[in-house]
Amino acid sequence: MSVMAYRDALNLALREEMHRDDRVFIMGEEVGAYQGAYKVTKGLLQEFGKRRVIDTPIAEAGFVGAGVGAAMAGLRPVVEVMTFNFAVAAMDSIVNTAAKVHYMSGGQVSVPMVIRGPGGSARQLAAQHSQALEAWFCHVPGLKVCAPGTPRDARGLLKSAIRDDNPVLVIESELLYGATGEVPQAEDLIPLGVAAIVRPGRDCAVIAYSKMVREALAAADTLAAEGIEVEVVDPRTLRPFDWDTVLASVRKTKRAVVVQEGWTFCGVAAEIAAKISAEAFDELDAPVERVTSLDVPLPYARPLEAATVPEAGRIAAAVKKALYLV
Amino acid sequence: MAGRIIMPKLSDTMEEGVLVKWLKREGEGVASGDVVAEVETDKAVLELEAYTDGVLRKQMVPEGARVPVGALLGVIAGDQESIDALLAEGSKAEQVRPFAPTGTEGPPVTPAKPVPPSIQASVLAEVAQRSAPAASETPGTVTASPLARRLAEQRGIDLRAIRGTGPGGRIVERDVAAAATSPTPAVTTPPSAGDRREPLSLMRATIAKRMTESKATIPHFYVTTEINAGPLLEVKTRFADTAGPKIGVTELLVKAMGQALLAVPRVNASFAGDAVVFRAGAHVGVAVALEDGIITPVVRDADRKSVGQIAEALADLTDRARRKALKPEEYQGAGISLSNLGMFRVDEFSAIITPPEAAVLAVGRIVETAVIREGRVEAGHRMRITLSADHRVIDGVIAAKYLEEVAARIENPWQLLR
Repeated sequence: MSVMAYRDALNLALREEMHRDDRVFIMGEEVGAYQGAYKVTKGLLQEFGKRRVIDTPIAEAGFVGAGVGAAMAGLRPVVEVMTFNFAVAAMDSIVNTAAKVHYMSGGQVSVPMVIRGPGGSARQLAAQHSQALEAWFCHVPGLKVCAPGTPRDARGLLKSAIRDDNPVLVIESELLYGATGEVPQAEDLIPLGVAAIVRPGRDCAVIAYSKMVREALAAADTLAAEGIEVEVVDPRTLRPFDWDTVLASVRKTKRAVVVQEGWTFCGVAAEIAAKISAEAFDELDAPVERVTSLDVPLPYARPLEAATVPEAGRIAAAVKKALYLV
Repeated sequence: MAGRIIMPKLSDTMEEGVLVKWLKREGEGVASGDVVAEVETDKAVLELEAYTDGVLRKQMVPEGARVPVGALLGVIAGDQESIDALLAEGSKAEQVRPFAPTGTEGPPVTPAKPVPPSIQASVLAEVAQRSAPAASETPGTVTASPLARRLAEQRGIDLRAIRGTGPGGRIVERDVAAAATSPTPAVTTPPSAGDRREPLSLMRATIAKRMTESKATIPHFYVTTEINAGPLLEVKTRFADTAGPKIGVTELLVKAMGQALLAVPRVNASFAGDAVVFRAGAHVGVAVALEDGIITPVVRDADRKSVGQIAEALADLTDRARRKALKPEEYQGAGISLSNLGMFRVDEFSAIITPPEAAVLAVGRIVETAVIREGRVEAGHRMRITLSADHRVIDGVIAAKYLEEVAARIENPWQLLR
């Protein structure tokens, strides 16, 4: 084990996979000479050269589309979007081409591609740069979506994503890039579609991913002081989703709180809540609670921003509601 | 030829069934063997097959109706064939009533009062609309979490008898758990004015739960004997005036019971599912009444202690029990318990075993009575003791032997004082 930052774990995954498979290449804005807007691609241009670390113009529709084409032609592109807010510009390539070509070609053509970059809010980046849009991508059959919450998961999931023969979106979190954690020295593939019990507990399941895991753990700490033992489950991959682990946790605790940074309506939490209600209905002692961002564009002002995004206090309150303590 | 579709008797216990769904419409052709409807019995939903070819001419009961076994559900006949006779028969099936799912069956529906013609239709519609949401609050509707429903069903608890503590009075897990610990879970009659409702203390709830479990799961049987209590009284009187710890019936009984445990070790045992566990020491519990319950502190190695030591131990334990200052190890681990109501006007009773013990001895008061000795009636003192025994561990003869061992010692109490 060694302790490293989330961004360095991603960098390690890229380096390891580029060494392992020379079809893997990186493409995106500022990924080469500038070494990545968030320094995830640091040192890779020097190590692998211009043919495999390609700086692109500010034109997501173009370079994401080029990535899709490269993948169809047999390469394994890792396309960095500076943030997933900008992936919206490339939606047609992602939703209409990458997700569906395998199906529409009767399995003759695959798109073994990774699109990665930060999603969600950071600090005061305002409405257009602070969106947690993973629900948009999870909605589409043919796409895989993961949202690592720790350095270890970041490395392990990105490696699995690169090796997957389908288009996989790795949605990172800007606020987690500097977060450190233990990462094994050895090869460590985290399979797509496998959740992790981050903290075991008996009273209520809290399902949270990406940086919401930190908030859930903080809520669990405060609640533990009051004698409430929360079980924090991180699905890690949002599609395919590890229903077995999540449902087992709900069946154990009889209560569920789903946390998602994005908006409530038609969100990932809505999907999880619906499935829990359908599959574990007889086990529930309370309606499934959701903790999400307020239904507004994210404000720029710091206090308003803080009031909009879910945090530990709101999660703890939701747990108490599910336990009929408030 | 016309054919009748009737509610079949699909199980021995079936008396009526629900016509869940028609799978053929009126006027639709039916061949023998076609599934025409789905019927729910007391156990399952089953498909109902036609036995004749023809057209489903008439559906006699609507979907969702509950009908008795043998009632006419529908008629299959030729297109032009007369079915009047069959329809006349069907109209006798008056027992058809709408199906209400278990647990939500309300009171019988009273026919609506006739509305005076002066009230306009629009007003009626408005009233109906306004009162519509109240439908969910009609008596008989139970709001409960799915988990609470499942637990209640498993434990045979009627949700209608439970008051919910969740939002909007929803019955939740804790309410069912609380009801399960109550010996009479169903509050069948609503409290009348002036009744006082006292929430269960933790001790009362625990006693309720454990005693219910004990009586429900342990096959109790009872053995009673009457003993000559004359010598016991003598001892008691002798010690009444002396200084030192007060020695009474309880203290002597504890020692006798401890010694008897060694003589009949089968009583000093616990049922443990796939084994019988025999206890090492002869520890005797003594039931002590508290304001809101009972606790049973344990006199350890009662066989080896002198009666004086037992009296001292009991005085201390009882005192601390009343102050709720006992440690768990001081009220756990007995091989048998003593429940003595002799100080009250109780001649004889049988006590409930406290698990994991396999027996409890209930002691009544000493009664002065006429006894026959060598053919002559004379005055004497008698006391009745009753052993409740767990038949999974203790058989009748063992229980009798134990009682005999205790009785013999109590009838010769001076030996206990040695």
